[in-house]
Amino acid sequence: MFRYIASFILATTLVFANLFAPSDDDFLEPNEAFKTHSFKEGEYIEFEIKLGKNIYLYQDKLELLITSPSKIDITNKIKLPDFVEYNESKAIFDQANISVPTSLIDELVDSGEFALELKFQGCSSAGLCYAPMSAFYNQSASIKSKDEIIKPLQTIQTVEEEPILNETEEIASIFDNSNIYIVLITFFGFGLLLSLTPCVFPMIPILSSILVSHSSKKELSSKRGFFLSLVYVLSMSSAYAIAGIIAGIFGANLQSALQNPIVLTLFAAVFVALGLSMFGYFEIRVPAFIQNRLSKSTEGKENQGIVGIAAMGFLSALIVGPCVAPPLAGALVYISQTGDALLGGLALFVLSIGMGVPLLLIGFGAGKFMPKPGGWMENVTRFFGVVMFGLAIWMLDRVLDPSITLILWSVLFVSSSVYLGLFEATKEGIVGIKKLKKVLEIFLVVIGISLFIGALSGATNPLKPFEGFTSGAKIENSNSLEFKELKTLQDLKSVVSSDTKPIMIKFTASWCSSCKELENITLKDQEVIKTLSKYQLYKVDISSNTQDDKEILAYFGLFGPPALLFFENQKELKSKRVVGYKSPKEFISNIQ
Amino acid sequence: MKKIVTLILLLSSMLFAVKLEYINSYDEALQKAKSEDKMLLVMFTMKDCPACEYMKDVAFDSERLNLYLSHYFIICEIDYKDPSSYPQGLNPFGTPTFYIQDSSGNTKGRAIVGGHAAPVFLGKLQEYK
Repeated sequence: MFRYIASFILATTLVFANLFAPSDDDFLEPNEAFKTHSFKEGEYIEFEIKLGKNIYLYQDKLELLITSPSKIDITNKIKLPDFVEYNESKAIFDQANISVPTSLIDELVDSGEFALELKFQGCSSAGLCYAPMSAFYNQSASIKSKDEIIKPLQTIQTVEEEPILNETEEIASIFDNSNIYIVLITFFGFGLLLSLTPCVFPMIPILSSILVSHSSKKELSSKRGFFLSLVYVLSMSSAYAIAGIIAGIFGANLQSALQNPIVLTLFAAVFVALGLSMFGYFEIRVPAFIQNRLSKSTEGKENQGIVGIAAMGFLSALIVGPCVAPPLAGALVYISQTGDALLGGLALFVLSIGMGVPLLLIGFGAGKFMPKPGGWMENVTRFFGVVMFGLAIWMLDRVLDPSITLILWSVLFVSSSVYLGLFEATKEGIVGIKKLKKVLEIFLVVIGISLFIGALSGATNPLKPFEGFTSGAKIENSNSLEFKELKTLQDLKSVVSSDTKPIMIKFTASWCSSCKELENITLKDQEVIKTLSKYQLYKVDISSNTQDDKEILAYFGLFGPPALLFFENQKELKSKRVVGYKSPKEFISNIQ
Repeated sequence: MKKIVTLILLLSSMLFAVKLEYINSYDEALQKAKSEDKMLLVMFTMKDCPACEYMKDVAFDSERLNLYLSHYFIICEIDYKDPSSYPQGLNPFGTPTFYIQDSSGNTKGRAIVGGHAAPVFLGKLQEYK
């Protein structure tokens, strides 16, 4: 399995390496981006800044100072160049000319000698911001000629306040720090639950035989019995820890591979299969010839002392492995998401320690601590089956339409309720746990039906299935905003040049989380839909990052999705451009 | 059962989020990179830099890149307007600029200059592995 995953990762890496070759040379050096020139012409001292391709200046960062003989800020006394609204800023494109009347200087400076400094700062719309820079003009009494230099203001020291964490960040930080403990406790809990499944049964005779063989030599104390069981359980846990470390090491890459819709669907299918096996539709087991070999290799080790017990514990993990495979697979997926080998190892270690608790109790010689086997064990197994189905839906959530996922959740809840015995007649006067079980069955079916109704009404959020009824407006489905796809820059230009009404073009990609937020929150908001009704809607999907995609991005000076561009009368309204996620409220105020 | 459901919900919620940590002190970041045997991503940013905001808020939030960064890198964010905090030998000419260093502080390859879409940036990072 890992070989296939490794091949997939390698292929993905190579594809990326070739598709996205470096393009750092596309950015202009500061002296190319800003070509400055200052000179005296008639009654004015002129500063001229020619801006390179895609370069813009922030109008509100322009600052003009008399630096000699004394420092005076004259920014407010001169006329600054016109600006256009761009990305919520006042931007100057192409060229900036600043004229300083000599009469103004004469008013403020007594002598004929003075020095001017024009501070400015700008960015490239292709995705780079430059340092604050200055252009200078010096005039001495004897030499009244132009003199200019340009240099980055690297000597300027800006005093930055200490970053202050807001409340949310502080809470998040605390959570992060305590995360590992929560994870470990959770995994231990899952291990305990697994120990209540019949999966642990095959290990009981193995451990019992070890304990019997040791007790035949001398009387086996509780302490000694516990110690032997501990060795057995610890070595079994080591085997699981190794699996966890491997999942952790390959974690980030596994996660990358998991984002592919085909892989996601395959994994979902595996989870469904595992879930079905937990419900007893079929059994997953190690092929008989391997199991026989393993059993043979553990035979006769009863008398080989601690090392033998440890070896048996390690091998037992392999025997039991397939039985606990479904929940184990879930655990491994979680670990692979964290990409943390240490956490992976520790998590599976504590999981199997949890699993080994009954064995430790056996070792302690206290069979009385053991819960009695019974039908409830089947229920624990089925619970894991439901978890498997849940994981499958969670995987599919990234591939399917949210309303379909919602229906799947509703099916899961309803069928869980039915499996628990919703339609089984209850005897009169039931009390305790059975009554609670009935309450749970009803609760699950109510949730399931709510989700189903919600899905049919167009809701997509499992936590707000009745949004369509409570918001007072009918929820439109995702097709309510229809975007026609544009593939090439040529297509895009011809659409813009022949527009009859305003156009909005959405830049999106399947790998872009913010695009999903924009899609599922902002572009599904009723007010936003209403506001966009006057626009023709197009989209450019740059998921594959083809040459055409790169060309379009470069043409508009975009460095990635999500972005929304607005056109009217064959021209882009740069002031309305939206880059990154914007809430519905921000979005509406931006385009109005 | 309620506890089990809570645990599952907790586990599920943790499956999604990997919060990236931005360390502002280079020495501290290098120390961490050494102790965790990770590479160092030194990023120069400043205020009023849309591309910097895009990288932090959008690109680094993209699942693949987010996980790749959290798994292989310690991120050190340096204020471009404070040259006194620059690590030795790094002289960016704009923001965002990214330098990749090994856990001993040796700069690898060329700097990554400017903002890039998540897969493009991921592709560039993968070249250093």
